[in-house]
Amino acid sequence: MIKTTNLTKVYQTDEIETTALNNINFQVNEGEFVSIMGPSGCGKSTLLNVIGLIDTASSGEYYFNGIEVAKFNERQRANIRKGNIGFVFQSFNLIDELTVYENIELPLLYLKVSATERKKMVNEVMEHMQIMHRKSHFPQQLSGGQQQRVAVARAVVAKPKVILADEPTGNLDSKHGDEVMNILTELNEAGTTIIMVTHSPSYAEYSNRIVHLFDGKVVTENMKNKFHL
Amino acid sequence: MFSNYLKIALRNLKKYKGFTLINITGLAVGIACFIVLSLFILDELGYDSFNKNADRIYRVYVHSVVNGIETSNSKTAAPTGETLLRDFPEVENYTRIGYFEHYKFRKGDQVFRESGIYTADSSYFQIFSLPLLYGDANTALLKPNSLVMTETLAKKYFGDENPLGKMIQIEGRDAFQVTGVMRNYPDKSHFSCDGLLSSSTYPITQSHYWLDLWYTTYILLREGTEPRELEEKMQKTVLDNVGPQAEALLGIRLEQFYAAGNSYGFYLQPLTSIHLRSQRDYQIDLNTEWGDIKTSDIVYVWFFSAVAFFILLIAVINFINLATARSENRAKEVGIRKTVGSSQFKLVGQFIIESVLMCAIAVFIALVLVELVLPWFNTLIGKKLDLQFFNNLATIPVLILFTLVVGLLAGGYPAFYLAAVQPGQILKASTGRGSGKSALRSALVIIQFTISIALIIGTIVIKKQVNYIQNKDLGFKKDFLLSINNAGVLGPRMEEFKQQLEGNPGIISLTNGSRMFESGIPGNGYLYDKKSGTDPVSFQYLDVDYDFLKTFQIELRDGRFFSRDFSTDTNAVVINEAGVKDCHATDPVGKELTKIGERGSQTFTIIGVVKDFNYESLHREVRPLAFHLCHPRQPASILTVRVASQNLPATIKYIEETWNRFIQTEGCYYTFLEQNLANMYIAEQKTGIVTTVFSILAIFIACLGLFGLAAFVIEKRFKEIGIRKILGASPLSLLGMLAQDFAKWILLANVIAWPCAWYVMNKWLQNFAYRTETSWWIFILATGLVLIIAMLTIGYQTMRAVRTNPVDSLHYE
Repeated sequence: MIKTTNLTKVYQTDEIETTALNNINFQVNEGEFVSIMGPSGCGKSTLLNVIGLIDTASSGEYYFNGIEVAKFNERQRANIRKGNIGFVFQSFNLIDELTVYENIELPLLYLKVSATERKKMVNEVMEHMQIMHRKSHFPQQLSGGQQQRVAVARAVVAKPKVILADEPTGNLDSKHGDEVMNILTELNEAGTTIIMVTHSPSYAEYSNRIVHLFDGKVVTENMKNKFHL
Repeated sequence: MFSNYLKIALRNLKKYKGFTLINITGLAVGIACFIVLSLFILDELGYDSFNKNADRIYRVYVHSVVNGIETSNSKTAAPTGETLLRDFPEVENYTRIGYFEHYKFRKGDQVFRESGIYTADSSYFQIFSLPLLYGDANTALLKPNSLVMTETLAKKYFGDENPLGKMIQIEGRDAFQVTGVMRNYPDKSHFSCDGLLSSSTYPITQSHYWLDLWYTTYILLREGTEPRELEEKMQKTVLDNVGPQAEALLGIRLEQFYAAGNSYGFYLQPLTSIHLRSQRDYQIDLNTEWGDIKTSDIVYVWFFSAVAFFILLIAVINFINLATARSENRAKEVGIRKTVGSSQFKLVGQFIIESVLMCAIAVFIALVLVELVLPWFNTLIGKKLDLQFFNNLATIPVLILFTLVVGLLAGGYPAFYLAAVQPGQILKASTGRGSGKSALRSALVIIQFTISIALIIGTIVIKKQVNYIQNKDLGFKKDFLLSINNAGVLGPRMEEFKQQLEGNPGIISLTNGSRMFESGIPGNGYLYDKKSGTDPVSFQYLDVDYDFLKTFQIELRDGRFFSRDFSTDTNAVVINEAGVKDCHATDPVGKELTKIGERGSQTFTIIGVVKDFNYESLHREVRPLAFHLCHPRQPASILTVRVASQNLPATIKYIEETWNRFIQTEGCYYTFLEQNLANMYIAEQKTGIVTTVFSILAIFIACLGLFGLAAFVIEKRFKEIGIRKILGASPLSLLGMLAQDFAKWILLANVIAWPCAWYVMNKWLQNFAYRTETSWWIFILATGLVLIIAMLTIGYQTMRAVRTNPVDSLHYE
């Protein structure tokens, strides 16, 4: 489903050139749950962003569902993102001016889903995430865990093929962190591909495979297939 | 401390370059507009104030209601001034200006036609403060044939030598003696001419006839005189003097005349009101002013004052909006200053110093801009505006004061707003949050767009009206008409000249008639179907020849026009439809029309009625008009030639060559009639251009502010834009979302702008008897234009945000 060949990302500032991703060869199959680990600044988030098509690579190839998308322009990338990729961020990234319901509804609006259909889908996902009672609240009125559940709900409402989660538990206590991980596992079991960046070895354990990055390079890949357990 | 403030201020200006640029550009352009318009307004307001006794000089005018028609005439009868001086101790002095003809001045073997010589009483220089370079102001205009020349005229005939006492030979009459040279009239004089001839040259100026209104009479009142009281007393002069003569003429007593609902009186108009208020406040018929009088309208002064104020307001609003919008960026500085002990008062001072500094820079740039554009603006409006940096002591202090006031206006609110931030709040506040919305900012932006939209509507209405005037069917065919304006010099050889021209195939028809399409078309009282009575009808009259109707291609409605086949036509008259209406005539052809006059009335037979055509500017409706078949007075004569559209250059060449065979002393001075027609609306055309220019500048400044504000709002919503993009928002939907607020403001602005503009423009259109409508599409167009310009402005900023990688907007936090 996702395959990168010699993917490289270089950040260029006035004087310094920083290589965030260095010839990454990386593959994720449909239905997999992959964790990306590594120290701060090793390029985890950059890799996730490039995979999520919200950032561009400097060179290399990137196949999404067999299509080479590395050279796509913003509009083409937006079209791939829409409905295919869901994002969960460490800092939730909810829109403060919109209610819980409206935040979750947003991707459906951009997918031009009909109003009745939207209502059904949003309610369904809120029910599932147990945030129905918070429907009319604004993000600031919620706890971190609740906010992340809203963010996850927003990521999954359009039923994307892939969910990219960038340290989804980073801002949460362990109780809420476990909750979010359980939701992700559940989604994976239902067939959604999940790629997650995390610092936490214990949360990485939830996935099938762990990819270790160091200085922009893949150093090890541990198959932690559940079938082996 | 001050230097610290100054340092911080300068560093801030440098740090936020974009903001500084927008603010200073907007302010500078706004201030430049304000200064230019202020100079224009001050110039308009200062007319005739160069006269030492300006506040005590009044012009006498005659106001009458005859037969339901109200007229105010700026001209008075010959004995008016003299009688007022004799009868009322309040009157200290008087003088009259009159006009008789143009003169042919001889210089060596050259002859020049001088049409700018007016007659004046010897007291002229005691009333008006016009210094004489040579000659004695008290005696210069005493003796007949005494001429006081302006500097320019003196130079033309005598070069640099002193012409005092020299004689000027005049073709066909006695020579004039130069008794004085005066400085040229100041630009800001309602009246100006090339030379003044003593009134005593013409014995008729001593006439005691009260019913011919031919002189402008100015009186100088003694200090402390109440003009209203004098006006009341002056009505007795009317009864005592006009009364008996009117009775003799009309055959009825003045009491009967009044009883029939008519009135006739003398009134006073302050000298300084002549330029701006003659028509609006005194309803003085422009037609009764001297030909080259400069008149304007106080309405334009108000209009441009409003424009000046509003443009400055737009610029000041930009400043307030951007400064408050930016406040969060400076909240940290405020917090730290407060924690280390600054008082709120000191902070306010600091921010005000910043805005005054910015304002000072803007004023400086504005002055440079003004200096650059003034020459162009002067050509546009035909004035000599000047900043008077060095020759007016008040200029620099006024500019400094202006800088302080604008600085305070613009910086005052933001200063209090910024300084009121509490240190605690700053620590808690997470910058980058919030949508950047503020009720005050919204209100201010709405004001800006209200002004912009109203200005655009005004511009379009003025353009539409000027267009309408230029294309209106005037009742005759106005193209391919050539006016030979100095045809009068042909004198007795006119017929011969006409015959010569008629032989050319390029010339269809030509007619010699008195002047039209300008002020000064003479009028007179006429009686319809009787030789005396209470109800004279006021007609303008034109002297024409047989070919008038044919040349102008005016429709005949009834009867016939003058014809060579009828030798009796010298006693015939042709009138227009408006005349038929005012006479309440049902079947006028064959009836009599009597022209009331000093040397006995003259009775004519009406032989025809022509369709109304606009022989005056479209400011007024077509008035009754009578045509007489006779040779026009020489200075009023104009030869109108209808030429064929083919071979026009050859035809013009033929006319010029023929002219040169007839007249050697001066060239053929011709114009196309359409050009003469356009000249009647120069004021409107200029207003149109000036409004267009300033509307564009107003919108430019408003958009500059919008540009800054959009940048600010987008900066605030950068993260949101990123999230929405990740969730699949298209650039267009983002543009729509961001533009929504601005569009809402603009639409709200319409609600205010439309009725205001509609009201003001309809008022303006009332100045015209023939006017276009303020159609609905003008309003839509103005709104559309502003909306598009604003959206382009916002669009640029939005696209910048939309184009960035979504991840950058998240990192931004």
